[in-house]
Amino acid sequence: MDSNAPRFRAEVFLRLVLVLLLLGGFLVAIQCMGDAFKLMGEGASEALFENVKNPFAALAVGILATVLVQSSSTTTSMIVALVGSGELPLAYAVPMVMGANIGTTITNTLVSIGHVRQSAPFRRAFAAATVHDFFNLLCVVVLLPLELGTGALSHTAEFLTRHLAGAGGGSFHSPVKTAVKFAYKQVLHGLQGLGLEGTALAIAVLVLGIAMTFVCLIFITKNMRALIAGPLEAALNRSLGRSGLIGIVVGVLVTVAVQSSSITTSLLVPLCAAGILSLENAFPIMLGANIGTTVTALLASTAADSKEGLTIAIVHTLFNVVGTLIFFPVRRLRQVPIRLARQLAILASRNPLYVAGYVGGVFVLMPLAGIWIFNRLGGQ
Amino acid sequence: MSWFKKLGPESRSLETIHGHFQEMLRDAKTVVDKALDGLLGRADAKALHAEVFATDERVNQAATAVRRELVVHGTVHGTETFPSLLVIMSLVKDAERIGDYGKNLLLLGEQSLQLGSAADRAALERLGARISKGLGIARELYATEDAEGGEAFMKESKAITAELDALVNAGLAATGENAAARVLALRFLKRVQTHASNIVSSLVLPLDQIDFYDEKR
Repeated sequence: MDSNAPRFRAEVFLRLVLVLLLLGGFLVAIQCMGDAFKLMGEGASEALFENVKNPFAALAVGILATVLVQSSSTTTSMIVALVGSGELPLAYAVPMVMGANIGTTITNTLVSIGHVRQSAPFRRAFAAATVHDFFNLLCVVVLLPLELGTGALSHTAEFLTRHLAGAGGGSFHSPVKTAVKFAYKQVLHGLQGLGLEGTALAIAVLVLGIAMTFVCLIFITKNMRALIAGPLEAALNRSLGRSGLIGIVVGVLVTVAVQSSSITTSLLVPLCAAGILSLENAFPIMLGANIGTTVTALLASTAADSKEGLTIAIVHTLFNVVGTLIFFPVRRLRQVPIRLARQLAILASRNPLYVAGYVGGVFVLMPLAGIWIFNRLGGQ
Repeated sequence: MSWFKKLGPESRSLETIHGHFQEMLRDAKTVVDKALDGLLGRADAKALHAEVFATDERVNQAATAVRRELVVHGTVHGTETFPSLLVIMSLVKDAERIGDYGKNLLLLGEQSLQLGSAADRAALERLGARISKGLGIARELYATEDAEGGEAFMKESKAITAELDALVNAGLAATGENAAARVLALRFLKRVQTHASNIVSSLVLPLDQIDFYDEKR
């Protein structure tokens, strides 16, 4: 009998309790962010999104915001809060969510740079990191024009929202939401008790909401990672020599558990660098991670005031599911992001300037230029 | 020194790898035992060929599997178990080499050579039995993380290798029929013993000194 077993069980129980409390805190944070703009009064959100005058600029904002916070879960949760409170139009939120998908891939690209001193491991690591980038970029190239032209994703999400949340009214209620509202009111009373009111109160609620989102997601991820380390290791061992649906399922489950696609995809980079996981077998796990990470926005939508919060969360899920359906089942299409990543990795292993150019270009210059150019176009 | 007891929950999955390594040691011992049967004429060496080579192949596959598991473990748990991973990575090579030298002993046996006088053969029999028994003990010590037993094993191992060295030196000076083959067999046995001793040394030595046992330390 393992003498550490009781201590281990107690640790698991305490961590689970902590995760539940953190989830509650996360939902309260979403409520704070959503209500902060209402407290600021009319015109506040218009001022915030003054620089987002068309969908391409919104895409660029999504990329840049996620690169800055290094977490698509945080960005998409904020988007859900803003859409849910009616402060951000769905038309801009959809490309922002797509941008968040691209922006989040910078984390594993940075992880792969850690192997830069050894040519072959770096080539494999960089390919493993950038295959995720290329998949997300290709999805945007295909799905953003489709969405702009037909509204396919948002219409489908609205249809699903009507069926999931009921047909009547602009808002829906649940026990979770009632509990979250109660906790939020306590927070608000607490801040008012400190003498805050008007704009100062609104700013305090917003800052608290953003800070709580960060802290809760970081600690949920840390605790869940510790909780599932054993099963995670077993799942990775099982999926090393396998490709396809098993990889996707592993990616979804691990990411739902740790609430971070970056954790899942960053775990794959060293395995690919060591050569024990092939790019072909890593790819489906990354696709699963992309789908799994959308659960955070779905969770956040339970705290949103209106159905639109759920709609944008479903758009996020649909975007990743449809992207997977386009680029995974057909071998030729599956090979497109894989080949692009391999080619870039070969160039990057020959000259580190390609790495700097790629990371700086895709994650910083392109979104900045996008915001500037498309806002000028949008403003005319 | 125990590399596992001082660890927290992360050691659970490490114990799984630890278990796979012990299976490797069991198979490596089987290879050596069968090879000794063939070498010393207790069984038809050629008839044992397929079984011994298949068992050694299993040892090799286990070595690659354990290495993969170590990389995955290190990736998931980060630096917490890093020293333990380095220890197992080193020991896996020793177990794999035991299988290889066992295979070499069998290939010598397949030549059906007379390995010296009756006294020479008796010495080979005796040392082979001690080494075979030692492989089982090494596995047991490793499984129970018995540092005290490990110290005793290292002393016994030193005595066996000293005896093997003496026989090798005598064999190098000899000119009789198949003297080279006898020396080769003794050298292979010494390598088996040394690799077993490397494995046990991980129980009694710090990581940087594994393989370099010094009684006077």
